[in-house]
Amino acid sequence: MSARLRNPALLVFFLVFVAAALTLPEVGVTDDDDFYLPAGHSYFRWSRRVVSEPSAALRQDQLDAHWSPNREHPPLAKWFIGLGRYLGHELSGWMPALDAGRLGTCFFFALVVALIFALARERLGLGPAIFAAAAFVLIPRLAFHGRVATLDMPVAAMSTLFFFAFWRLHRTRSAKAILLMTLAFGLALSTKLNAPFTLLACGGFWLLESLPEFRRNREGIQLPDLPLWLLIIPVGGLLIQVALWPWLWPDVIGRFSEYVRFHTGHYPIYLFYEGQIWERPFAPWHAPFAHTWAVLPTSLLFAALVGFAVLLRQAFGFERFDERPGPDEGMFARYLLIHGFIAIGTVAFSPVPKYGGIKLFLPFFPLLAIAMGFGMKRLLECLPKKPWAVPVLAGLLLSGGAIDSWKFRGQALSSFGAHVGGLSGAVQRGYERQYYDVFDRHMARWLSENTPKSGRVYFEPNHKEYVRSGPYLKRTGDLRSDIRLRGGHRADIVVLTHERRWRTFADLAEKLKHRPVLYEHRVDGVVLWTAFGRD
Amino acid sequence: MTRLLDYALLLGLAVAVLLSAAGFMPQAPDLPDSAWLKAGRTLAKRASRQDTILLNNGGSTEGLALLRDQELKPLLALPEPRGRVQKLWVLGRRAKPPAGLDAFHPTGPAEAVAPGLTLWSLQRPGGSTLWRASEALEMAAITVGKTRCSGHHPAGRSCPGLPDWMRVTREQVTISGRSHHCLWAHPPAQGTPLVIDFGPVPEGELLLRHGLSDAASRSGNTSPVELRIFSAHGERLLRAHNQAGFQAERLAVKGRLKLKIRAQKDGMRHYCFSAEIR
Repeated sequence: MSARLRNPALLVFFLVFVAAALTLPEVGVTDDDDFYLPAGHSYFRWSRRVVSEPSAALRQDQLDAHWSPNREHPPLAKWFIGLGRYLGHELSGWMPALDAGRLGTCFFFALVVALIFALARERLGLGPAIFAAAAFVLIPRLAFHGRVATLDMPVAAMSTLFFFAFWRLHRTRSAKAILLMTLAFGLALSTKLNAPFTLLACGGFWLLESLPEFRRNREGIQLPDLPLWLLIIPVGGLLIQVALWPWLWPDVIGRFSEYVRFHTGHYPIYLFYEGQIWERPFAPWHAPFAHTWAVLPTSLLFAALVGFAVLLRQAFGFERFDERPGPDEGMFARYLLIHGFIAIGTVAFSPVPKYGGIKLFLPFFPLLAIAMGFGMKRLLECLPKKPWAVPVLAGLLLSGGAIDSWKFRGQALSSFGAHVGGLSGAVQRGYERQYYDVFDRHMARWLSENTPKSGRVYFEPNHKEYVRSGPYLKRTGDLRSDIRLRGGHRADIVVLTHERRWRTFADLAEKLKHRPVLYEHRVDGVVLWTAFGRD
Repeated sequence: MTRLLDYALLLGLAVAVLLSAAGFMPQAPDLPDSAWLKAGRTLAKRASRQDTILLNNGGSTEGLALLRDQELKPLLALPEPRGRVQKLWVLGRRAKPPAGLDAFHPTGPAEAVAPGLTLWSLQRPGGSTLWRASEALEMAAITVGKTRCSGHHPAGRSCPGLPDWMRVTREQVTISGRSHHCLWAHPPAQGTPLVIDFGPVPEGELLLRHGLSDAASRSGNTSPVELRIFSAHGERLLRAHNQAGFQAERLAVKGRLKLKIRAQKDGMRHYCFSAEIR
């Protein structure tokens, strides 16, 4: 036990969690926070009640009351958000409810980084493992998603946990191994809808590795023995999901069908890409790949490209690379590449809305970070075998991430790599300069300093989301409590966020041009929002 | 070979690191006002009042106020739907036009109209569509009696409180055995009109196609669907009868475009239309 506690992955987990928690007061509010924070609060309150008054808590009216908020998404991440709120706000009073709830997401963020470290260390050694973990943290958009109360980073973490568990255990045919894999899959399934695709990747991997076992004989093609996990993991995972989701309990089939129906008919969400607004038809298949290319810090993109080249060579048996020589080198490369392709391909090639930059395929990025570790390992071979080589190379490769994290601090969702010309170059190439209707802290503080007493503030083009986010920032003290978020164009201040995915943007900019510009918030020379005063 | 690859990788590393570091350099300072004033004067001489001017600074609003001071109307983004833009001037610090202008063709080479400022002249090719009803659907005011059809629907707009078939949505409908992409617009019950007000549209020739689905044509209801088209050019009444197919009509329109769709008997009136202005 004590040896496990000395595992450096735990130290990585602790450091990332603390760093993420300490920087929470700088992270803005997305239009999803107001869905998941109250839901998490409600779920956790029920959990406490189940301990104190189990029979009352298990009544259907109580289940419905506590579990109907945000019932279109599974509960695990929200449970952690509720726990974070309870520990960090209600119990200790350490931080406002908004930030405390986000401790739950920080947990998943720290978990995924620790998993990246552990996996990379096993394959590549300590130096590249530290690099891979740090690279993940220094991709600004990932650091943002890891500190807001949404489900994207949690599902990335739980998918990676299953990826890790399956890789370590699937060849061990013990009952304990199957149970642990099932548990990991069940937890992933209980986090967000895209988790099942991880199992699909495992199935694809198994099929590929079993090809030599397919034999043709007189009786036709002889199939390899189907492994037990192929049956137990999906069924067991589903049972764990049902067990962890009390909303389903009163009517499992009816409510689960409702959940699936919601996502198969998900309403379209706009994406501005290649200078066009995409709704229906959805954005083209290459949008997720192009976004990944564009948003990565340049030096990390280079490491990733080298890493993927190494993995591809290794997958086809052209290169032997791992710290741990053996027959599974190529197998691991194939395993990672299949998972990576399915994680991003399910969004790219399915008839689903593509929106929100990279957020829909975050489970791809832990795999990308591991690939970066492979890239670093290959680059190390180009340098003299000296003690300085690892820190110097890691420093150089991480420099792009550090620069972008600093440059886009507070507006991480506007970050683009220098290879596309930064944010300005990305705007020119037709990418969306911001999304998620983030009510950033800088904006809240500026409004607090510049809005008249009891003044009215209105947001264009999408006021309704800021109305939901505003109260959180009032409670954190970032937004003055007397400011009223209403008034249309009669408001004292109208804030125009430069989000081109709204068809009305150009007309609104024209309509507002007669009002005096009080302030333009620029990042990388690009205007993200403009505050207009009264005529 | 391996040595060569190592050198190539180190070179790539150096380029990536330098590029990353360059991203941290401060932005180029704003151009002097005189440059924008000179560019504005050139543009004022060439552009007509109907032309659209797009500021092309890669997301910065530099020069916007100076151009406005010269009675020009530069835009930060193209208005949607874009069909209303025919002649487009792109002016700014960027040497190339921004992405997303594929529907426009340059009418000549780029011109350096002032130090650091490039002007492009673009034109929508002759005969191309200026406006499509399907693209303007989200901007239209749709009503059934006193009910505003402002509900969100994946393919268009729904009418809250009314049955599901009472919607205006982009769909594929089979008419005379062929599948057509058109706007579903079932007439409401009891002869009430479905009103679709598209607001101002570009002046031009409206090409309207409409008809009843094959399933509707086979039904016992023979009441035609009436479509009234209103614009500043006047009013026109079209009728879609059973088995009449997907009929095409052309008429001149300008100003505000409003459609009223109704039927005496609304049963099985699966009506669909497409409209574009050329």
